[in-house]
Amino acid sequence: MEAVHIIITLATALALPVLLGGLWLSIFVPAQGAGRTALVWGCGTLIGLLLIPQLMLALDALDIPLTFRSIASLAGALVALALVVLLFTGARARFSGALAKSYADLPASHKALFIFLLSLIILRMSSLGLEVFLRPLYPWDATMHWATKARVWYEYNSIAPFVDNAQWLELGGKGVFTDVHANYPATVPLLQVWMSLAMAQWNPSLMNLPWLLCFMALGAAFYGQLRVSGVGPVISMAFTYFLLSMPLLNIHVALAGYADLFLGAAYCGALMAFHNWASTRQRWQAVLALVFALSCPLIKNEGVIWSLTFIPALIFTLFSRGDAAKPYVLFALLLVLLWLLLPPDLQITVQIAAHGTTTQWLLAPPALEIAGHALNDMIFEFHAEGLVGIVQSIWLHDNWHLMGYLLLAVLPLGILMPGALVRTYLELTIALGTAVGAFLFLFLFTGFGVAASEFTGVGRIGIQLAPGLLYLAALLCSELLTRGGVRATSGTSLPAAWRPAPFGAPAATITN
Amino acid sequence: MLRITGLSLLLGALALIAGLTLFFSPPGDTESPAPVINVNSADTRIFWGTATTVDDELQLQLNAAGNGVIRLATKRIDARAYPFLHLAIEESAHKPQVSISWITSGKPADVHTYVPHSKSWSSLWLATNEIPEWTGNIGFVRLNVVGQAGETVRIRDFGIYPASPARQLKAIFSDLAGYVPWNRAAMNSHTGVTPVASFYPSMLTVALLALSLLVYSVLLLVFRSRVTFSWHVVALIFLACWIILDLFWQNRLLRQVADTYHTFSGKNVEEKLTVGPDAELYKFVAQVKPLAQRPETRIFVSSSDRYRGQRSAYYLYPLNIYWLVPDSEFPPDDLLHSGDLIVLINPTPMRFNEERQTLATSPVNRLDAELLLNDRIGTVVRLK
Repeated sequence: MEAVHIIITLATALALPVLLGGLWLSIFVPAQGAGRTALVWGCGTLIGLLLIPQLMLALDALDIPLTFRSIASLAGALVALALVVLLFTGARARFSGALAKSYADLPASHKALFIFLLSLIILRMSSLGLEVFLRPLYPWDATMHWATKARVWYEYNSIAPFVDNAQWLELGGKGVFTDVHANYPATVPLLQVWMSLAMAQWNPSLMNLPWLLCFMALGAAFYGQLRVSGVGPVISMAFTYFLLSMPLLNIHVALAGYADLFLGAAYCGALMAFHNWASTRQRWQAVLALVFALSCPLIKNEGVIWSLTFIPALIFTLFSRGDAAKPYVLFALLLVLLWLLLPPDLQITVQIAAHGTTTQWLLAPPALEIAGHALNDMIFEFHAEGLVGIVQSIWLHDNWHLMGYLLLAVLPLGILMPGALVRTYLELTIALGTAVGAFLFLFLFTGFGVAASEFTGVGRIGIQLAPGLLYLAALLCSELLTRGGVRATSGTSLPAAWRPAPFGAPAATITN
Repeated sequence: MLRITGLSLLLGALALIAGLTLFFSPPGDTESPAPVINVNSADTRIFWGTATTVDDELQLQLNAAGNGVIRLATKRIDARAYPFLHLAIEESAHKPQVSISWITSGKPADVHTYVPHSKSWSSLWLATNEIPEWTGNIGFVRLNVVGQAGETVRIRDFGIYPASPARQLKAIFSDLAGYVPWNRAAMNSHTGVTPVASFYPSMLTVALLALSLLVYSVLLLVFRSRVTFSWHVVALIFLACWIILDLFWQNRLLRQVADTYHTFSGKNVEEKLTVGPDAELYKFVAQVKPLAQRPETRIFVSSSDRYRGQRSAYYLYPLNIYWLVPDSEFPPDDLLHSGDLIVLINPTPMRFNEERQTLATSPVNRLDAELLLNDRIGTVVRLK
């Protein structure tokens, strides 16, 4: 009887984020279009997973105890509202089988390959699912600063404040808790709290099921957005398989408990939506990109760096290249100037008082912590050992299977393809280029070189970038295969439903 | 398109095999290969446990202490003449521990032990030249098995072998198909190899990819009147190589799932934690928790071992925990309260003096405390 109860509550706890994000997204995504189903439920689930913790934060801010009933009621109300809106705007049209039609048009050999790759993905998800289902929380950081918070918040039905060790000692531990990284964002631990509240028990295995859900959602969103970008079903499925088969990504699901998978999914979600917004100018893609980009810092502190990579990309998207270069250069000069003129220990702080304690947010870059290391401890000098570590991690070890080699082959071809990297995929190139630049700077010019040479941080930060890089590789490969080489072509082959409206025109029409 | 893709991959694979066996064969005298030494050799001896042979399979019954030892060769042999070691043990529910030991010349002789990293023992071929201590003149090669008293371990083969292309390929396959359970480093990096593997799987796959593409170019040249270049063939070759590499990873995942299932299935939360990797710490913490008289009791956790200290602290939540990172200073006296619990997880430099009822937090600092718990894992005191 207890098992049945747990299964029902678990199913509800997992279904609510899916429905919450999926149904709301479904309202705004045009009814027709390749990959719509995968996109809506994939991106929707990711949004739902990010939204549930924010609802919990909101309830806690209103002094409402965090219980399964209180959170589920709020989420359920939002789901019901989405359903009502959908009913009034033609739900049936939104759930028609666009995917089935594009699949039906495929030749038999393509269908066979599609099914084969899908089977491999399902096998992988089953293997990882069993691991998550059976194994109690295992990885190091998970027990050091993520699940510690979840355990306390679940027990107290509220988001009890965590402070650093010194502050905890000063306060005598009264009303506050401490762990190694008290300032890490609450999103990931709150997902574990959500699952635990649903089961009404602290279950260090089943509370990690959102990691599996995130992994599945990332795959679906990746496939859906590739289809929106005009990539065919087989190539989209092949690259989705590439993504979901990467060992380090798989390990972060099997040994759930770290936040890198969620950050990688959010950043990739933002990149994909941003690119498709730049191609189609559909407003819902812009909103999607904005939501994902803003959610990055809510998952991990370094997420703010990935969010900032969209600023130069946006400048290049909105202005002509000549105009765009000016603010970009000015911005870079301003940063250099600030670095030279401002004292190195300067910190801008924002303090928010609640529940008798003060939460302090440090906005200056020196306050950023990445993988537990403060940036203000960094001494900027070249670290050759970091380069060796990066090369080994990407091209020698099996972290990413053959992705490193794929990028080595595809990026030069992309450069040779007239207009590909500098026009068709310019915004992706700028955003990812900035992100990769930040990644390289971190591991080559700061003390993080150690994290690369000892293979600690480099793999985990890699998880945050790999899905986005693979998305760019998929677009370039598709372009190459469609063109039949690197010859010039008229541009992307977007499906009719996703073709761009002129800039400034209304967003894509919703067909009822 | 499929035909030329398949042909390119097939010929690429053959070229890879040829390249591996011709240019990367281990050192060894292949002109007059040394004789195979295995459990069927005449001078094989059983030291601990008893053995019977059933259908070419050695059934080793472990002794009352749960030990079994098979010694292969007594005389000294040249390590280079035996570049491969084969171990084939039938899977059993109890999962005995296995190690291989040997001696090298020296006075007294140096004893070396290798514990196989891979847990795929159904047919494990090791390239011994990757084991640094397998060098010079060696002797007394032994298989050591530790399991449950009276348990029967079915050994299909244990032996050392001279070089041959087939054995080299088997050793490479063993590396690729090997299974190493999750470890703490898994979250950061997946190398795909054990420390004694000859090749990285990604390197082998890239070699296959490059050779297949080379073959495809040659086929294009040879059949230029009938075959034209297609990026789709290149893409399919790449996809096939990715899938081949991924199947080894999938195999490893399935082995891990089976292992995880064997350890944790059918158990509730408490039972899982008492059989998991932190079983002894968890059991100790379960004794500590009731000692906190109130939920707000402050608990300081200290250990010289970073892992043990941190894990113990984690299991103590949702109590109010302060984990002292190793080498950090103990909080000053004025910030400590009467009633605080101090949990010392071994190893620890802090000592409780039962006679004086004091806890030494440093060579010069003593705190008045009462002992609440003391066992092999750690000590718990309450500050007075």
